[in-house]
Amino acid sequence: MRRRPPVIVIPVVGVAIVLALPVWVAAPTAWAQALPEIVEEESANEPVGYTPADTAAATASPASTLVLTGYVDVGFVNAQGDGTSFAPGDTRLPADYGVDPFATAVNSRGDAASTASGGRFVNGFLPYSAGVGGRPSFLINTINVDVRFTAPTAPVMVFTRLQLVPRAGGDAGNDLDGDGTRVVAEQAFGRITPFESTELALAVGKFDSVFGIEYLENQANLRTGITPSLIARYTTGQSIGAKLFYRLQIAPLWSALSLNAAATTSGTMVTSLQTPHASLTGVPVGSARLGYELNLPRVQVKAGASGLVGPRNDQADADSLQRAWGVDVRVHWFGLAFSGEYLVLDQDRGAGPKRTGLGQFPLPSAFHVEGFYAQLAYGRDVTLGPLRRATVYARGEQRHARFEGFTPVKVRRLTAGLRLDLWDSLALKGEVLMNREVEGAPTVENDVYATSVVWTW
Amino acid sequence: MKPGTARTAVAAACAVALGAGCTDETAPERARFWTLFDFTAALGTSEPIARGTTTFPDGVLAEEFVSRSPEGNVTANVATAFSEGGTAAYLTTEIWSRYDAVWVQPMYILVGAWDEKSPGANRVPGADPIFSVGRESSFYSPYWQVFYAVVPEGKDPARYTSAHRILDDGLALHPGPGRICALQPHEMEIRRERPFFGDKIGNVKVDARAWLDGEVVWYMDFGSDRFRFDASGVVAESPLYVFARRDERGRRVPIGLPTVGGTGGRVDFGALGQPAFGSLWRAHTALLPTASDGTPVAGVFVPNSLPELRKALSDENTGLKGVRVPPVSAAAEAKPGVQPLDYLLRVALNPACFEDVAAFPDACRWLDSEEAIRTNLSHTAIVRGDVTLACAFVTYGGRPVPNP
Repeated sequence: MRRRPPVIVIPVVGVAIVLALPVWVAAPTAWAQALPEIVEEESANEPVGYTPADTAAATASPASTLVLTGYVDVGFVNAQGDGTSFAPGDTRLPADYGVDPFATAVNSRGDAASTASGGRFVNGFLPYSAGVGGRPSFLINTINVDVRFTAPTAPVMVFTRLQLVPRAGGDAGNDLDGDGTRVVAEQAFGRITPFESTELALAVGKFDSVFGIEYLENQANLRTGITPSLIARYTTGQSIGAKLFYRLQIAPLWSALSLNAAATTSGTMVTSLQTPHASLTGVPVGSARLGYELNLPRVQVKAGASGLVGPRNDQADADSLQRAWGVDVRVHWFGLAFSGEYLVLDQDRGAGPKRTGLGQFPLPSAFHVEGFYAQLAYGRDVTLGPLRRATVYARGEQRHARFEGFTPVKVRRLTAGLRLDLWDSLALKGEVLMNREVEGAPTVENDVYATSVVWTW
Repeated sequence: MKPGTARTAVAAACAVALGAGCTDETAPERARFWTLFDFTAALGTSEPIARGTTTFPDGVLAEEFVSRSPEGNVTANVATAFSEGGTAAYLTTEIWSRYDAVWVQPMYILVGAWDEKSPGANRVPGADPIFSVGRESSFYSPYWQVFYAVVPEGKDPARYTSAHRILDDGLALHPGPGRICALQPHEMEIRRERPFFGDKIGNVKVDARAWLDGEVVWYMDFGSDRFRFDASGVVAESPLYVFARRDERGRRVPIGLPTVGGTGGRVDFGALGQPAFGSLWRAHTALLPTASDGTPVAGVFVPNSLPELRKALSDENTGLKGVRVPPVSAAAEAKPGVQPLDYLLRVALNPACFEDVAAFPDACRWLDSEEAIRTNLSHTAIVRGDVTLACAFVTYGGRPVPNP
């Protein structure tokens, strides 16, 4: 990472965007005016990726083939209301069909402050719960250990990412489930790169999604902010299968084309919605992203189109399909980083019962969602005591979803925050999530104030 | 009984057993349900409902539940049943296959002010109820919990045509009783008298207007306090016994006799005497016994005063299978205090009693209650099925069911 002068400059245009986004949240038509042309400044703010890149330490010597890294993500969060999006008085069932239970995210895992429905029946459209409810609380978001082995004499890399997630219950919509620590094998795969001269890699195991770009920020130490977007639940899940990556550099044009394709058990949804740990239908889910990169000396533009098709892996009928497509773009320009993504997803009605990472539920309803987010971040490298980098960011997003026969729900969210990187091993983050129910869901107090301290080792 | 009524009833009674138009057994691939709209759409198509279920392997024709007149009007049929040893009748408005549970949903009634002692006293004039979940949802059901929504002063009640608007405006909500309201096609009628018997059914409100997500819908209202539900919204179900036989393939298939409604061990009535059980039924097949040579043991009572019906049900090709239609002594029918129509289509395990003047009817082992079926049939004869039905009683114990 390049070092920059110790001055934090927040361009006027960035401030204007941060101030303008709340207007967009309140007024549906205002958002187009709220994202003015990006100008100025400097270094890229892109995370290094979803798995650690081969580093000098790992490749310089045949003896240095085992690398152990990790992080601890400690949060302090405060969600409004009871920590859920369930409105008092709303007795429609299932309780999780008429609201967005994911809205009160408190960490990079997308865990909601609470998913307790007050005894009302829910049908498995839920995130994992942090179990903190509406009370301010510290919590250990994630204890993460990465182990990477690079074979000294073969083009093979083996990677595992194990995580511990201690919680005060609440994973199944009940905050009184009792204390427990979940062990998550987030990634476990081997990768072979058969040709030295070609960027071609084949991975088999459990790995990150290939859909869109937000999966690149799944981990707290890599994510600019704290919480995932409103559409992350559909695109950032890990799954088990085989993956192919190919990139073609077009040097004269400062460009590259890439293809990332996977056939997996469950597609790209997060585990709380579809389990990746077995194919419930016997038919894999295909997903892919075709990307284009323009890598100029001071400007980077990356754009891609993604698609997914295959049986929904929360039920047993192979003919009940899920289909999704999306487009994404990232622009890095003089310290400004813009990223955005648009998604459309449909699921057929499935054969019951429904089985997710949270357990078994009665019926897999047909479902449609479309949504997007746009994030603007400005980061600047500094040398001010231990401070190495400061990044301010804002994200506007919208999700419009409908379970068959239920009132469509449209929600918007504005997320704004600050990240400070100290030395090379500590990130301090703070952000606010302002959730707004625009259509179909009753208004409820569910804003979230989240902070995160990420210790990286 | 009118002759036409008898023919219609026989056709209806036989439809299940004969499975007219049914073809192969195909297991349904997923949980699904049918409403009055689906029954209407399936009329005349020979496309059976709930085919492949354990209760109805060949399905049931829509004509069992609704009829279309020559003029094109669609009418919901009334089915005769027995419960607790008495006669009863119900309308079938929804059928679910492979649903482990059915849930209650909220409906809203607008009031100008809240009166705890008389919740409906201040109902906003002209304001129709508002339903919250439509039949396109897998979680639609005709079982609603009433919530009285207090319209604030200065607010136009006409703006409240959806649950979302009521919740969003934060109207004060006061929970009321459960109410059975089945969404229906506009202008659908119901048969107002019980087949065979000709007696009047309870006062079911038909083609009533309501709102759902800002759209006008029509519904059939069976009244309040007709079912129970738990804290998570699951509606209590009662067993409905469907008499069955084994077909050539060894499958249990319905015989086509009137069903027997159980109470699930809880005989529960509302304030006006309306049964608060049995609105949601779980079908159980009850296999009638056969002799060692395979001939049926049980017999169904059909009085001599209904010769056409006796002939139709006894027909070797098109009549009932798996049960006998034994002779009935004229003297037994004529016994003082005996009303033969009270026993019409009732099944007895010892049908010889029909010819025994001394024994009839008290010494007959009638299968006309849950207790009688559980006591007289072996436990292996009774199998809980994967079909649930919304069949609200419209007569019970020989009387119309009140509609509070």
